[in-house]
Amino acid sequence: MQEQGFDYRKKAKEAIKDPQFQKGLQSIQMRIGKATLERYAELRDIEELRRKAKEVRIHAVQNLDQYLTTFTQRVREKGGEVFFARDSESAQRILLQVAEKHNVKKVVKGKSMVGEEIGINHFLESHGITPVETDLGEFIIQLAEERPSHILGPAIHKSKEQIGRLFQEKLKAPYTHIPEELTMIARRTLREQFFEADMGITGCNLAIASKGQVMLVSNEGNIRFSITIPKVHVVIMGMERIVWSLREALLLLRLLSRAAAAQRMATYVSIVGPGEKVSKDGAFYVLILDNGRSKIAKDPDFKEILSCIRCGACLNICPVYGKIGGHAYGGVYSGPVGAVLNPLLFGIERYKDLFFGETLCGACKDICPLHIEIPRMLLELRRRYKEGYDKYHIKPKKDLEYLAIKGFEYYSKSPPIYNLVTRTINLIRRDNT
Amino acid sequence: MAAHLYNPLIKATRTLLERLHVEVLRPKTQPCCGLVAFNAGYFAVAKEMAKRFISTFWDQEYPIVIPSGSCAAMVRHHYKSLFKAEPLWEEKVHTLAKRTFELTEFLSTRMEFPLSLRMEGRVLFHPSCQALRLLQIHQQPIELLSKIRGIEPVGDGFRAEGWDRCCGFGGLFHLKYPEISKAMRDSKLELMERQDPQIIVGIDMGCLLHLKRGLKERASKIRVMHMAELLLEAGR
Repeated sequence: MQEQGFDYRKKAKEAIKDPQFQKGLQSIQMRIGKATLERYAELRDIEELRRKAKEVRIHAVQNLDQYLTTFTQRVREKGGEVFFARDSESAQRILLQVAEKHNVKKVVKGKSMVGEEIGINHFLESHGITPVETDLGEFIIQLAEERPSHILGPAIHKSKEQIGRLFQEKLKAPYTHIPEELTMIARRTLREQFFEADMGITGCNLAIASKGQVMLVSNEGNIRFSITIPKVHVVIMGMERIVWSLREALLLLRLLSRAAAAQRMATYVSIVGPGEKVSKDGAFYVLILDNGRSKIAKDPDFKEILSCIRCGACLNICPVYGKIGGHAYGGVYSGPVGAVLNPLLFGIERYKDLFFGETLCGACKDICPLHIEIPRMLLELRRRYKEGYDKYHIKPKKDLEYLAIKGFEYYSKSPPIYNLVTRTINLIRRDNT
Repeated sequence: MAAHLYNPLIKATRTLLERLHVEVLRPKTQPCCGLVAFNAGYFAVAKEMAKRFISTFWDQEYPIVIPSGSCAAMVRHHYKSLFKAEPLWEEKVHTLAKRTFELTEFLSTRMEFPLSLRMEGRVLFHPSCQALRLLQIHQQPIELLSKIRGIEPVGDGFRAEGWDRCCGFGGLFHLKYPEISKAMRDSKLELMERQDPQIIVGIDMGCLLHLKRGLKERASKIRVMHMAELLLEAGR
């Protein structure tokens, strides 16, 4: 799901001029970004844990075939089914087949970025199936018909007053701007939806290959409702979101809780698989999406980005994201991780502003639980865009900037010209500063 | 970059080092490290520039002192990735990296400080991201500042809230995305102004000029100084 006609600069400016958005961004960065670093510091062996976690994830990315084959076998042995989808369209088709098989009319959904990639909501609606977002932030975004502005806090750009008016209009609820009351309104509305739904769709924090199970993490309890009440559970996962053992999953969970929401442990952790439904006609499906990931996995410069566990910590510290918010990134993913992922998944040329529009300050790499080298990858994207890259059909750019830099390189060879030019620059500078 | 943007810094650095009894040699041609080309994505051009830089300096034994965190980080950090597939150059890069220092690093790790320093003023320090994160320069500038008698550290030991946040300069970034860059800069300045400093001191002229423009727009009286300038003034 890509946004049509997206304009990084324009969206960035809109966010900068929106005081409510700025307040939300500042609040999430001041509260969670900072606290995450404090939570890390509580663990004596934190750097060792981070190193191990990275090793675990990189091993998975390098051996995806083996991990996914075992995972699929285990799920099928226990009576579940696994589908592989090459791209969003084939994922939509598979989803529709499953929904039709079980005669699904209403779906409750947990928050999922891969779901955004597939464009589930719009697609299901167009086929007469009602999707209901159950994560509070996503629920608000769905009512407002907007897009998430943060991986974990999709509605941080909205004020409690805006949400109050939205609930008043869309849910016919009496106006309030008290967070607890707003939450109760959402809760009452959602409670009914859970009981009416025929299918629960969730994302996947991590699949556990050797167990044929998935680990799902939430703070609102909506995931547990989504996977226990409806007869059918469909897990949608990016093909890289997998580890081998439960032990590895738990190691990553420790880091994920701290990184995502500065918690020592997330409120609800569910480890689920096939054959665990109470009702006889219960069913468990896993839909695994490639959508360009297998290409990234083979790319030595970029495979590291697939070790990402989508904690969103880099969004909570990035000074650029802190000003422009998630909408400017124009795709499914936002923040530093989005600046690498959106170009790789949806087009380097199209998303060029994302990797040029970052300062490479390195705060993302510092806070990332796996120390993923986002600045290095942003630079490599710049190189491929400017110098050309056959595999992605990118032509070299001999633009004005190239001429300027080439000219600069040339003049710096000759001392007299060099001195003249530097002196001139300095003269101009002094006038302006 | 120091030479391109702000010539007085070169002079200040030189004078400061000479006062500290360091013999300063400056090559006839002052090659640029190539960071600007690298940052723009033109790695091949950056490589040409890097080769010239390496060839100028590598067969000498003297330490190379750079009064700019980002240029020093280019030489020490990015050269390694630029030449990772070329063993011949890679070796030179590793030798060179060991001899390359950012100014405050050089001053605090390589020598006793013979000058007596005195200066009045409420001072805040602005760390540069490349120096902070790629070169791990945390304490050196703070320790140097602490040696100046009469100076008044504001904030938490010369550091304001959000001290390690990027100021929005980002090299070419501030030219390509001026609105975002400005918004970042202004947030940074707001946090700094809360501490009511008289001087903001830093170790990277790029960031400093960027902050200076912001302060000018706000008609602020806060002075912006490079560490070399400040130490020179304090040593008088």
